[in-house]
Amino acid sequence: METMKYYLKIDCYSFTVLILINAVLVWTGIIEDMNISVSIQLFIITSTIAFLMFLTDWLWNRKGEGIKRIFHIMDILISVWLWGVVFENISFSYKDSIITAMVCICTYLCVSGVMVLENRRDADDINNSIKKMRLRNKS
Amino acid sequence: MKLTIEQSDQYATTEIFIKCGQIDLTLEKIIKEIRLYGFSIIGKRNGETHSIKIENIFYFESIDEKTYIYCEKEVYECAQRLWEIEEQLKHINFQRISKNCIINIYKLVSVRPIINYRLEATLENGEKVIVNRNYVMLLKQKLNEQE
Repeated sequence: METMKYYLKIDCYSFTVLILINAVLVWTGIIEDMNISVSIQLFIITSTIAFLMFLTDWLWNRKGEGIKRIFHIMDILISVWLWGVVFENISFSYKDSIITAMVCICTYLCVSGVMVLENRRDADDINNSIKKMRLRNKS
Repeated sequence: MKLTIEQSDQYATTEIFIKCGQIDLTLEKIIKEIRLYGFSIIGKRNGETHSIKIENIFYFESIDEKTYIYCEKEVYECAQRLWEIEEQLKHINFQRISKNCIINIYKLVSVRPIINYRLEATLENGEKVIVNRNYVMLLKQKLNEQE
């Protein structure tokens, strides 16, 4: 259950970040206006990414955080380009490929950052509870 | 709740007597803890069998299908499986923190975030154990139960 919650969280965070990045790109005129169907396509893509990340984590039991992160970025690029072909909303021109890759990496970094902050908040919460528990046990 | 303690040389054994209208969750927890008072687990070390008091145990770890009991300095081998220990101790101050580790939360000093969204927990004896991300929420809940 906790594992499922973790990957659902990744899905939700990455979808939010992706929508935000797309909104900025639309606003700056780099990409065309975004409609409802694009939002649904983005959700399918982020869900696929979360699922591929789950598979990567499940299959990659060995140590080596750096390699795992490279695999995660590959999961993102594979999902984006595969669904891009299916939805016919991706262009494989040099410029567009660079933009897509940049957006993917930015999203990955943002989601990782949020997860790190969340982990830090969990650690703070636990440390506070430990302090309270130890004070109570002492008295 | 009224607490009465009678201490005297005339009592050879400790007796705990609870008077209550009904057993609520808090009282149930206290009763479970009392039942475990004096509870010990059998561990083997250098061919000798030892009875280890539960409050002296820092954590249990399972390595290659063997279960080990870690006290402040000593390590003992235990015949019980980790899931059996978890089942026995789940209502008291013990919490599973990864697939192969159960800690005594009373021995926890602090935690710090590490890579891959896991936590590194430091115990009273300075030992460090890893809290897997899937168990962080459960550890938080267990600690909140203590408040």
